[in-house]
Amino acid sequence: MNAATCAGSPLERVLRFATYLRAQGYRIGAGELSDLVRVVAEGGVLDPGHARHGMRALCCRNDDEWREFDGHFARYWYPVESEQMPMSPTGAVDPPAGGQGLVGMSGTSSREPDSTHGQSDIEGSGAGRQRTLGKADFRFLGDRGAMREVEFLAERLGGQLRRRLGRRRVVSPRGGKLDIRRTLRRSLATGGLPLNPGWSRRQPAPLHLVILHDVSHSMTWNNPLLFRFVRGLMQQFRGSLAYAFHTRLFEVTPYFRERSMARMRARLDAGENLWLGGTCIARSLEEFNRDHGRRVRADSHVIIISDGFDTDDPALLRAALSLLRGRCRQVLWMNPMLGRKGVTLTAEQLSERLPMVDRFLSANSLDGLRAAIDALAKPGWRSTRTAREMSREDMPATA
Amino acid sequence: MFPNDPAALQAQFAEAGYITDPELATAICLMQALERPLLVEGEAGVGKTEIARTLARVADCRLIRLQCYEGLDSSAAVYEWNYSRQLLAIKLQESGASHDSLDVFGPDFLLERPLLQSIRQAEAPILLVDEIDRADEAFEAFLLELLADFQITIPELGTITARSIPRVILTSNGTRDLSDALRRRCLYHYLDFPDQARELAIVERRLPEINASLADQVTRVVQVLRQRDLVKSPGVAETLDWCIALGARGVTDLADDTDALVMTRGCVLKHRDDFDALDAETMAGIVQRLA
Repeated sequence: MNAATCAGSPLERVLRFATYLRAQGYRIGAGELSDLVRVVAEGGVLDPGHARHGMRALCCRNDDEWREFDGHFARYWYPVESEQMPMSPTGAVDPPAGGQGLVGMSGTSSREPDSTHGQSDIEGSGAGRQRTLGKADFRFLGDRGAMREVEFLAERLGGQLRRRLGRRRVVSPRGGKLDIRRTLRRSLATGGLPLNPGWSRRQPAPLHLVILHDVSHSMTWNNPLLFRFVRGLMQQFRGSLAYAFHTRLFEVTPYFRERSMARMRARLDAGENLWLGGTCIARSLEEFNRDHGRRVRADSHVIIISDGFDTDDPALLRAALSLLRGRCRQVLWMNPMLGRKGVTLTAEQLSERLPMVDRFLSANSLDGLRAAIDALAKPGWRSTRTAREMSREDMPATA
Repeated sequence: MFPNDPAALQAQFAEAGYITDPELATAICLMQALERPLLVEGEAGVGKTEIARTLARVADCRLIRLQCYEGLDSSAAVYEWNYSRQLLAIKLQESGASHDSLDVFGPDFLLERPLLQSIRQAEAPILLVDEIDRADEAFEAFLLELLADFQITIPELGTITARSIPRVILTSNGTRDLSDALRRRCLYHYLDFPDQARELAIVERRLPEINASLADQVTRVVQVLRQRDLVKSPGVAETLDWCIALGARGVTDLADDTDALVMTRGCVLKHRDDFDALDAETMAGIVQRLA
């Protein structure tokens, strides 16, 4: 055991360990600290043999922290021995150490810390913090906590869309809210007594999405977070389809249907060489049209997530997009490069080149993702306006 | 009452048919000592719900279960007024059949749902909030009041505080992220699939009549299946079902009866893609490699 960490009273040792965990990103508040002291330092609740288990139950809040805890514990208390210890004893779904794992943007950032450290401007709390997070460029979310928060918020957007689309209520025999009109009408038969009340429930909001996600090397920075965004949508709209592409296309729908995020990450990491090599967008779309085009419905919303760096002929891309556009309700293109400082390309210019895309949207910040949610919630707009008009109106400001 | 010592609790759980590890036993002891809820996350079928059932048996107390689903609201989870009874009481009063003073928003007209029931018990029950991730975020926010103060506010009646503090176990399959506020109030345990030795112990404990070598084979095959990229990895419940199915067919050695292996694989494989990936030949190959 490390002599430095074991110096002082049990209370001091526990407090120092809690500080160490906080530095690793664990959110240990006053309540947890007080319980830690009660359970471990003061004794009487747990014997020392179970202290580690108790600390784990008290300090962890999710499965990621749970898996990492033993590694942190060993590194803190037994630094020499831990050099030979695996990071996670349960680590069946831990991402491979050296690969481009889908470990969350926070994990990806840690591989390239120099370019982002110190640039994070995510300060404050409450609504102010939400606003700052919304505008922040994903590249500059240097600290792990902020990135986790943004990933969480990105995934929740799918749920927000579903709730937004499902606000309309319909009469149902087993609803949760009294339908006054129906109740009064039924009461006529019983002399005004509402013996057989009518109920209403929320209308389920079916939305068919087809998501085509660029997973080439140039998208490495953005993808883990965008995957969380896509996962949120796929979890909420179960009939939707997801495909990924780099130099070829492959379906990833079953991965997003995984209920456990850890398993989804593990399956994505295990296959298909994500984030390696170049991009053939046009050929991938052609392949999609040829092999999977029949799965696109007239009411489908197609979302292409790509930075647009394509090695194929632009004419091919236009042809493939035209064919795709003819099959669906609208095509949205989410581009992480749009809205980014130093990038002069605008959505307007893109719309002129690819008018078959209904809207080009920025995917470099939460606000950009929210704009995509708006576009999905208001698909009616497109029937009366041209794609170019819509994209001009709704694009975020670009540098 | 269950003991506060994790080792003793582990033994009691084993006696009740649930093989657990010291870590979970410690978390349950802390739940009791700190009066904090325990959030258990893990894949479907690893035995999260069973923890609460076993705890109720061990502690010899009532188990109150709230199954969460999308759209769950307070009328299904907390309380509801008995509208029909209220109307009848009003009619009786109007007709002169009853002369008692009438308060239609009193305790007599209150229908208690699981959450309210759990804090109104004289003896602390086990409250199982199952699959909390399926409930809406609004309900999750509502649950915070209960978990923080163990009290429920009914506008017409006022705040009802707990007669006894229930031991609360929340389970989640991770279909969505739970709020940080909820996690902060809970102790946390992640329940992973058991290793082969523990799964074998579970099978032997739950199915004492099963052939020992068959149980060993089945648990080893299931371990292999979990390493594969299946749409739905088999849980402990599936392993038990498979053992029962094979036992009912009189199988004692999987290698000898490939037909039974294939015919009963529906006990552990729950998706068409998994069926396609693990055809008769593949399944037989797995068994042969393990032999």
